[in-house]
Amino acid sequence: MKLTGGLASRIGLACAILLAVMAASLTASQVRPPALASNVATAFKSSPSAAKQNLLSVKLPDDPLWERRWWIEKTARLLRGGAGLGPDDDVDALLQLSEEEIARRFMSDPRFGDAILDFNMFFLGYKADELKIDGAYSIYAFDFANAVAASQALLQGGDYFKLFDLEGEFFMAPLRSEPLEEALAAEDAGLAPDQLRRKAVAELQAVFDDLISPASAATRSAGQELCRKLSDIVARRTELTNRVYRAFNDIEIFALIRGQVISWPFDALERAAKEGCTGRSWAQADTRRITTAAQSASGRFSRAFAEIFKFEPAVYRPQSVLDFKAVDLSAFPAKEKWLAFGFEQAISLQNSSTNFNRKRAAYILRRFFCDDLTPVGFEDPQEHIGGAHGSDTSCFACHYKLDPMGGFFRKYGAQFYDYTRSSTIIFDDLADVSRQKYEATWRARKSSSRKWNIAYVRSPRWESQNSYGETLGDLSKIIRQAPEAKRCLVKRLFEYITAENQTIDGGYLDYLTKAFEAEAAVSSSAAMKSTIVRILQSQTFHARNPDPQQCYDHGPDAKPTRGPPCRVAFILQRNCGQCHGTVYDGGANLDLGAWILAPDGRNQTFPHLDHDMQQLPAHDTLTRILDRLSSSNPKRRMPKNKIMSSQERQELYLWAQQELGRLSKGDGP
Amino acid sequence: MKTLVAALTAIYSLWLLTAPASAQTSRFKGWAAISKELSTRIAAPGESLDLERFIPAEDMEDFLGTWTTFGTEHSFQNGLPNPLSMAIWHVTLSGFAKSVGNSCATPQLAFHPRFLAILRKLCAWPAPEAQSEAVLLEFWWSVMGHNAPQREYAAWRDFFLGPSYRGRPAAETIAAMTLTITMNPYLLLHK
Repeated sequence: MKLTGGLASRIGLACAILLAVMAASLTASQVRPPALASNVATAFKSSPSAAKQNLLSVKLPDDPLWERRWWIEKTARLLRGGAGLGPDDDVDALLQLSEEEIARRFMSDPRFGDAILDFNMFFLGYKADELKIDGAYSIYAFDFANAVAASQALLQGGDYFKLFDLEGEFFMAPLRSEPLEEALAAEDAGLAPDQLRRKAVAELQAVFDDLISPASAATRSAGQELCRKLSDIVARRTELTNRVYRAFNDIEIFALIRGQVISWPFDALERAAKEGCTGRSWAQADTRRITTAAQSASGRFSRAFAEIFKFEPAVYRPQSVLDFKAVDLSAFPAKEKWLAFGFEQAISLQNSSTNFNRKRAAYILRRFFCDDLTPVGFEDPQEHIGGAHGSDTSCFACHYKLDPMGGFFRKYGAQFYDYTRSSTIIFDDLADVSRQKYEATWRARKSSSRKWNIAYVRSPRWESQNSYGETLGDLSKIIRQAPEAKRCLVKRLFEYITAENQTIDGGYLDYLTKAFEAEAAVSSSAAMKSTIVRILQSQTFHARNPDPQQCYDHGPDAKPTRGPPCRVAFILQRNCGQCHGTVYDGGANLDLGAWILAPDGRNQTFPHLDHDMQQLPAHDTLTRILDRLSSSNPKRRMPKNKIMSSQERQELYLWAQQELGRLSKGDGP
Repeated sequence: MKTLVAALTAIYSLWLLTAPASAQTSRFKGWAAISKELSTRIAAPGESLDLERFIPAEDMEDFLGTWTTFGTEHSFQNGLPNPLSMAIWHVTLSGFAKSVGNSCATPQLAFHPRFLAILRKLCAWPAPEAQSEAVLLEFWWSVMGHNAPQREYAAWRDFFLGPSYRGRPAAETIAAMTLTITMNPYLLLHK
């Protein structure tokens, strides 16, 4: 396409201006701070020389008072759900307080509930951009029941570890107030969402009630009439269910299904039809059995919806996390505890007929144990397992943890639906299988003292290190008791407050975790608040534009030495330092506590001597470390005769791999 | 020809400046966070500023950094500045800045009374009282918050008190002031 000269030059000019603006903005965003605003402004209006003058005129030292204001602003934003300082905040008064006092003051603000819910959702892997839309909580804020329960507990000084509970209360969002995306049918035209709900529910209620009406029972041919009606209702189950669903959105239907609000009454009627009518003459129909079932179905349905209608937006509009109301689950046919996995998790953590809940297992390991399942070898198991996952080393490196964890979900099929009462289980891929056959995957061998091979596995070799269980309730208890989960919680809190990719020194993380655990033994919510304060007071949080590779905080016993990179220094110290604290150890001649210039004069490496007491190249040292970390041979695998946590082994392995990659590419330090 | 050279130069500069970007970690706070920050500072009590109307097209805010990725575990997406996101920020915040600039006569958004009071003082620009340190600092803090170090404010103030804007009309100046604050990386980025 050819453009006329004038148009082409205008477009060119427009491009130039736009690109210049972007370039200036990118400079501002990526390069160090000086006079960024003037860069942008200059790009709009001014000449380069004027910009240069401005740059020169503003080289001021950072005013400590401004820096303190910045800390307060950042803290306010963090602890008040994204709301920084506003016109109603008295900054001068805040400046008079200590950092801890400021943090605790913000923690007493009602918006702190939003901040904690936001963090809890971050911990669970489902942080949202915003919890409120136009002043009302978004439906997704209610979707993570354990996140809500833990937030409320924290605000009330209760049990914050409800975050680890995989079953508990159900916090239903206010019912839909917006019109559905699909157009309403002619019969429903003009109805508001609440009117449509009432109508749809009343229709099915009338169908159930018709079965128990005195008129039906009074006729001479009562049995015949009842069985006819019953078989008609059972045959129309799908149609009648969908007529109720037409008034609800997907997330509400998800709750109706999980709560068996509609399916339970139909199941009861189906059983009654089978037992009271099928194979009997009309005269022999068990009218009493049918009527009792119909009364029960109608009553359960009615009671469940009476509870649901308490969540109409006209009467339920929570203003804070503390206002979130739990459903009275005794009103639902499925009276068990509510599964913490909500609608979005049901969509994103699907299972299939072939994955044996491994996606769900990986989620638990990643989110609650900070185990990213990096395949780093494994220890020889005591009990050998068949199949590729058991014999192929690269597979088993993860599957020894994944498969036993998947067993906790063995009763749950598509969308985490509980199939306990059913002989078959249906998966998200819509395949179905006999439940007995499916669950046999996790049965322990006959000689075992356990019934199931279901566990949080720390070591395939040393079973005493593992935590075994059978149900999600057991898994919740395991998470609550696992030190890895508390350490993971604190690590995620640090990432949430500073930056996700900010390196944390293992010693500092240990220090924070130990303090947290000690306080949590008395009150988990107080411990959580104190840990937040500690991180807010950290050097990392005080650093403007911190280097993600650098550790700004260390454990109280840390000595400022020129040791290995902080990402792995503490891991090495804890797991390897005892045997590899000097090159004169008489074995490997490797000192994993020091970090020196490598023979190439460019890179750094551990002191590591060969048989002639000459320093080995960094490449050789790292290759050997990788080999020893991933070997499954107990004689070669390091640390020798010692259990190293899977998380730390992965971290060390990944670091060594990245270092090696960097060396191979010839990148400088 | 000059235009072409300018365009090529700008493209080269952009490439040069973004090349080390991959090594940086600064990420956008995201549209929702910025929108909330600005609302907290300058919107009427209990209200949110209707900033969405300045976004050039529906759902474009996702390109400005978002956590919301329904159906998978969430991770922050589109957080690293790139030419596209910068262009969207620029268009969006230009619209907002213009709206603030035009609010001297009639407020274009539901502003907090305190912000309106500051704005009214600034609307006297280029009168000397509008160019006082107190007025400029108050306006800076009310839009930027306390995100930026003092030298950023000094650079901004000096620029607007310099020849480019010293004598320009209020609406134009306030729009430029607002745009330069809101496009500042200390506001837009996490670090």
